[in-house]
Amino acid sequence: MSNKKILVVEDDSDVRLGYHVLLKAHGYDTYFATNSTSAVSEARKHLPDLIILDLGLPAGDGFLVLDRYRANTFLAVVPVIVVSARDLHGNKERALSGGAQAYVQKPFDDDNLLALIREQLGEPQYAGVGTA
Amino acid sequence: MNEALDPRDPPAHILIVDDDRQNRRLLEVMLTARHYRIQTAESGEEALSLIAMQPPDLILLDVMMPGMDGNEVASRLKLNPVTKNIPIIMVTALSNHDSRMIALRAGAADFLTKPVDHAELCVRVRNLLRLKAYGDYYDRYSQTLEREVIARTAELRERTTLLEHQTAVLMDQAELLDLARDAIIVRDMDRRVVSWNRGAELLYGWASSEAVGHDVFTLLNTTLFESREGAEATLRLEGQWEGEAIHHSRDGTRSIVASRWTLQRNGDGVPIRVLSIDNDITDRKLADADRHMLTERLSLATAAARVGVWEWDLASNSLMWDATMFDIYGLSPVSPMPYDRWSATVAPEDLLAIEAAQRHTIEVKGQGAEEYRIILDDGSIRVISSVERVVLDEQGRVTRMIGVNADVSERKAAEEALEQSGKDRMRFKDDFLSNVSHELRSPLTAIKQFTSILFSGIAGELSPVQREYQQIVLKNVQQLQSMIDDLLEVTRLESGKLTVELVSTSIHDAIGDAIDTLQGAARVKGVKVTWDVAPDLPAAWADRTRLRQMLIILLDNAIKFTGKGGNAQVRAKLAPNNPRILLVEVSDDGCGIPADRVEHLFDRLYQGPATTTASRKGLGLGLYICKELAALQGGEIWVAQEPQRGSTFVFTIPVFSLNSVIAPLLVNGSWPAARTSLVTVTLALRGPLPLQEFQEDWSRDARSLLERCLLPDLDVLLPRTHSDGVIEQFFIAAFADDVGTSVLANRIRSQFERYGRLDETGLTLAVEHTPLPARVDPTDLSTDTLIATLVSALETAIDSQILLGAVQHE
Repeated sequence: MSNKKILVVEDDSDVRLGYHVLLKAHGYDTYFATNSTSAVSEARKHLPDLIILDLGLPAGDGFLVLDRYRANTFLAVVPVIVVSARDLHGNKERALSGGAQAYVQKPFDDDNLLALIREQLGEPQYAGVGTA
Repeated sequence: MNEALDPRDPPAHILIVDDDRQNRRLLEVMLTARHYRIQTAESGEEALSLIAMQPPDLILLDVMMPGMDGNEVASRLKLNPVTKNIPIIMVTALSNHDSRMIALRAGAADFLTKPVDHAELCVRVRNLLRLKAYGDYYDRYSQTLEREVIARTAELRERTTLLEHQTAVLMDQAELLDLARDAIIVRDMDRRVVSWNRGAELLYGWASSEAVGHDVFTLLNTTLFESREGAEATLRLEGQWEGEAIHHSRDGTRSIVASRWTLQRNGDGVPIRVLSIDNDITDRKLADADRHMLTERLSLATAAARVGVWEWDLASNSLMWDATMFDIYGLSPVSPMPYDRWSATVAPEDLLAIEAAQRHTIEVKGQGAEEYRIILDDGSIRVISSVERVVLDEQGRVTRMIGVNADVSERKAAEEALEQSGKDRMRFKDDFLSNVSHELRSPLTAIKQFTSILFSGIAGELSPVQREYQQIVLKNVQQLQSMIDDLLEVTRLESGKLTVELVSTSIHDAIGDAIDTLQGAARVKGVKVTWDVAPDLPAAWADRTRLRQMLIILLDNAIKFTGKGGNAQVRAKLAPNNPRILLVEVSDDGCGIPADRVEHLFDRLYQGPATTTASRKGLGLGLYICKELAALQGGEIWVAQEPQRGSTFVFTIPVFSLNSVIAPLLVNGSWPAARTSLVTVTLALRGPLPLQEFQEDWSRDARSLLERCLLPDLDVLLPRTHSDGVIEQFFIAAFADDVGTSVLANRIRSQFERYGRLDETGLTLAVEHTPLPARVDPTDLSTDTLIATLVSALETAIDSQILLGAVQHE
């Protein structure tokens, strides 16, 4: 069984590395995009099983990328976890109604994120993970 | 020779009485030569009758006559007042003394003895006639005199009566004159006072006796408002003059009078007197001056403030404007001004509203204030602020409207700029904060990520020391994170952007949740945390997230400020004196808070005293946030403590009640409460959702979807009640009959099927509806009654446990 593919769209290099280390350690193959253009092209190229999308992309068009994913036939079914450092009112609602499956605030708890990922991929949760 | 006294008098008339014809003839002849008028009589009787017809001037009377003798005739004549003064010469033959005495006594004036001597006769006749004439003259004279005296006396009496009457009238008039308050002065043509009434005495301080005879203008030190010569000329020409004058009283006081002079002429048209009436108008003049000054000041004030005053006469539909008004509107002054000229300047889109407002003000006979725009001739737009009120006539009808206008364009522009800059600043602040948080959180993410990675051993096993150090880093990252969160929270609170979603919520669950979250931190510090919640505590009416947040802040503080081995406790119960309020207490047995710090405890950036451990204090925003959150949820927070024995923080939260929930939702009480149905939407999960947060999100989504199905005035979505994690139920009070309600139910179903992602989330949907048995008393349709009716109906229909949010303990 091949590893599940996760595309991470994040412009900060350190944070990208952090994702990579964490996800790889948990058995996922990771791919990266650093801006909105490559976000779409990489997604189309790799057809990942999950996308982690940072809203705080340069030029602030994280939502645009989300729209483009939804508009694409193949990408529309890919679950998207939106990550955001900004705390703007209404961001969460906008993301969820824009087609994202989940919304996570940065800095996130990695256990939390992993649980979310598993859930979105339909994988079983580990015992002890998640709140009662 | 005529013996009459006055040659003009007729000749004297002599009567000869003798029975003897010859004697008669003899006498007659003797007297004829003297040109007397002679009459004769034969007897005494004839003599008497002749005398009666025409009394003679002299009678020659024979004594010896048959029948009535001379004596008797004489006696008779003497008895008759008409004839008693006629001289009688008795002619007698007897010459004795006695007969003469008898004759004398009978009234004879003289005698003649027969035969009569001619010369004697004539002399005696002449003398007696002369005497008679004198006597007659005297009589006539004294009669005339008497008549004259009587006439004169009568005349005098008449005159006296008239005079008395006139005097009485005069007295009356004089009294009236004195009654008059006005000073009435009569002066002659030399200006000397002739008459001076009481009013003049009072006004000028001179008694009448002192004033009379003096030059009036000197006495009063008079100044006229025109030249005196001019006034007097007018007086002479027209007979009267009217004007104002200044007089000075005896004591020097100035009086201003309205004076009227009238010229009196005599029978030949020559002016003889001037009557002047002075009316004291000093007070009025002063009041006028005051009023004038006030008006001047007002004009100055309104002009300086650029406030124009206007008056609108409704009957003629014309306006009276002051100079400032024309200035404001940039129109050339015209008085009066037609209303249309003003309305033409008002911006068309504002005119309708203004005129409607004016109509309303007139109708209610009150006052109004509006703002509207006008367009000046040069096309520029000014904003006018207008305040006006109606003016009523004596019958209370609206005849006019008066008001002021001010050009507030600058102020409006400033206000708008201020508002705009406020908005800009707000947006800038928002953007700034959002940027700041983003910037702060990004490096924080990386730190946290790698700390986590290291800690989890992915990058290799850690030595115990390394683990320990990593723990410190991680703890600090968390601290930093919470500080940023707090900062943003406070900013949101301050800008009013923080909203709370009040739902029926379980205090028990919230407390348990908070304790779970902080269990680790408590353990690390060696602080024991216990909790005590009354078993049948009703649900709270609060924001779930915020409640949890408050508990975490308070519990975190409790743990932080308690020494190792200390205790922290959370309690929840009903308020002892109010069953509608819940009390939550978080207490510790730490160092407590000094009394002098209690007052500012809940202020922003309050820093606690040095804690017992080396732990940092944080930003000090926690308690401030708690205070704001408590207020947003309708409660309060305070600290109850005994120093040296720890602190207890207490906050209140309202108890959930359907009544207080329904009331604000129902705007007016005119709905058909008799036809109300309950729609129950049940979402059942096929399996438990992994994360509480996720479930909340989904619940919110479901709720907003539901809301889109409802008609705003007719359906009320009740707030979220307790859900047990498996079943989520929503209750809708629908004010519709059966048909309407089933339409609603169908709509809900189709919406959820289309947009609800039911398959994805694994939820099943069931929609049911039942009519509510509500008894409505048609005589009492007040809002309170209807709410109570609705509430009781709902309570009956919905499982009371669910409705009251009874807690199911895990």
